[in-house]
Amino acid sequence: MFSLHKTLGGVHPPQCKDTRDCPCTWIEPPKQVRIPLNMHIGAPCTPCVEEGAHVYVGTKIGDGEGLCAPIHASISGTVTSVATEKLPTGATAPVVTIASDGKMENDPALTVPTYSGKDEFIACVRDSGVVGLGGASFPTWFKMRAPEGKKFDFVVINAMECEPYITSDYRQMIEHAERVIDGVVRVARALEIPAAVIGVEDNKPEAVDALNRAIADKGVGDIVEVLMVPTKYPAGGEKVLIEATTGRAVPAGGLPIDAGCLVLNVTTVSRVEEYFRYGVPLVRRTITLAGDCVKNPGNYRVPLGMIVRDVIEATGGLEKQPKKIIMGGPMMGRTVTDIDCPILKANNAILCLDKDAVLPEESPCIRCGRCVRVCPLGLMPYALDAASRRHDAVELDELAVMNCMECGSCAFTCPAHRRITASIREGKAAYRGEVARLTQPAKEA
Amino acid sequence: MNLIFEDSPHFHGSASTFKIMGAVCLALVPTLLAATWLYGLAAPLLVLVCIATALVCEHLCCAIMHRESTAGDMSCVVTAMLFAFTLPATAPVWVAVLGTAFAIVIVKMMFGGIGNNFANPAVAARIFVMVALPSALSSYPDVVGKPLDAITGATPLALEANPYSIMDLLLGNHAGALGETCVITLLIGYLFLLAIKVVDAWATVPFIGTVALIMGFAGEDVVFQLLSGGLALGAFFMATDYTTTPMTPKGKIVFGIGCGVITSLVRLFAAAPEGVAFSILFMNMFVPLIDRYTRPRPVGGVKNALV
Repeated sequence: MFSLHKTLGGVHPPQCKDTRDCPCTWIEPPKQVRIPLNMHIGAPCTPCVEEGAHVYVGTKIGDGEGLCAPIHASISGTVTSVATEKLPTGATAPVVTIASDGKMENDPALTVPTYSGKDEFIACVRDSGVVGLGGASFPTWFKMRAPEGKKFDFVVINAMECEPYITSDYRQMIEHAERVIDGVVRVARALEIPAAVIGVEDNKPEAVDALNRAIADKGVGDIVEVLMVPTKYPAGGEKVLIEATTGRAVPAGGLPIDAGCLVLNVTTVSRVEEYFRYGVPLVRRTITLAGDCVKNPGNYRVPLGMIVRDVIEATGGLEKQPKKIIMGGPMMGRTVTDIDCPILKANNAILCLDKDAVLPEESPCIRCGRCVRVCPLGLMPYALDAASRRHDAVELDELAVMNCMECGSCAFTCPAHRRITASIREGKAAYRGEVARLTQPAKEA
Repeated sequence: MNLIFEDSPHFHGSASTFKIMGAVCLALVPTLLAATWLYGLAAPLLVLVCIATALVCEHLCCAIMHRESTAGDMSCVVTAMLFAFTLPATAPVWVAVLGTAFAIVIVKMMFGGIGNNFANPAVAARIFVMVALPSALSSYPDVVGKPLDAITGATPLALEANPYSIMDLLLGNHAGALGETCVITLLIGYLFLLAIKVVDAWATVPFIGTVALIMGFAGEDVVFQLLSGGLALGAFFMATDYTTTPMTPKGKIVFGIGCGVITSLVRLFAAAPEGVAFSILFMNMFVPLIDRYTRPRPVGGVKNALV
């Protein structure tokens, strides 16, 4: 049994998980999808279909080199345009628009993948198009490649879902516990990792029961273990999760591999398993639709690239005009200003908020120390905030600005309502700029 | 559809500066009631004068500085109440006005307003009044109802021997500043703030502990030393001030011990009978230094690229 390590800091935002009992339901497939080819961290894909081409569900429409994951058509129909567009995130990338033929036919060329050995397994995971589905969107196959001289000895499954409102991971565990466990075991065996631990917050006992039942049914208790972690935001932050489940700390500037851990989101691992069972790559995902403005909050399976407006309309529409639409949870999600933006691989929720949308005005820092107390990474957010606002790169360096994971706990707890997290984000950019400026001449010489 | 574009987080806790400062004011109310009972109506009148002065000063300063007024956040009310608590109930009104104005204008606003003052305004003002206007504060009234010849007297710490019982000291039944004597109500207020997590005990306990230890070694009456003078007010409400004390538990312990040592040294060796205010002001100066050297170690360590 692992010992439970007490993690630093954290906050208790209202949970708002009213959709926890809403089973994952299919919605009417859209007439059109717009699939951006930069749905992951890394290089955007290059389109490999042309205007007018016929595609099926699962037909590859884009792929690339290096840190990249292929992207597949999510509906069957005709490609109506392949064009480079400016996306709501600010980035520019090719976007493939597909008009549905209404059939939702799977690509006949799809086959159930087989593999032998680590490298073939990782190649299959790459073909599945799966990226980190908890919100990070880091290509999963790339994560699985342990660099020379480093070894994974833990698979850590992130099933915390500590963000308020979101219940899509929870539904995955309740409805597909058996598939999750199979996926974990498959990953552990294929990558020759001896042990796996699934970290779940203790506010989801039903999920823990479901997972434990599946483990008992399959007799894989020697490989996988479920660990309940006290409910506290951000228990699902990668570094916090590793600390809580294994007691290890990821060194500054390092990756989970430096602590011997392969961290995968619970839905990610379930999708990987789905691909190995049925051969259908990542073409749709479950999203939690919630907030005080939607008529029918719940968990819905939507094709990737479906327009947010269409998703809302297909589920029954809006009750009132939202002031803010957030893709993801309220602590780390991004606002969108355009309701006609597409669903991406990493979008786990759409929140339409009215009541809680407008935040209070900022006032001066009173040095109360609450931000220092809640920072899960032991940083000094008030000092980072001040240094960021005066663009003091040296001070930011001393305060370990790059350790910050932008969880938002400091800004959440600040009685002066300071936008600490936003300011640190800007500070990071300034810091990176300064480091680049100072290291450039060294490279030239 | 006009949608708000904003950086995360989009959720906010319910804490606010106003609520925190309001809670501190609330915690000071029992002591104010005790002061009224002990020293008569002069006590609450003096407190009201200080509060009014503080509100006006802060508002005017903000106006002159072309800032949005921060007078409404209650923090200047806390300062005013704490300063008033250090005055004898017989203090002239002009002294109260001058002291409060010094606290708000010179110590707080001239250094940038709330959150930026390097010293506790109430403590600094108390010392200013003590040093600049010693004659105005030379006598401390004794509690009402005592024989007329005893109405003004020396505070217990200024006396050679302790004539008071523990009960008298706890209830504040002796001569002193209006908000410093009743230890019981100060403790109630402090425990209330502890319970709602507005303050912590990281500085308070080492402060009181250090005074007890040093005074014990020096052969003084420890209980008497702890219950008299401004120690309770200082340790409960001034050493827990946000702006002028360190940020981390480690830093607060250092701060508390420093305050305790200086208070004891002043009480034992200096010409002044009381050292709590001096010790807090003195340690306020070290807060940036303490903060610098008690920084928590980030999880995973630091990887510096510039330093």
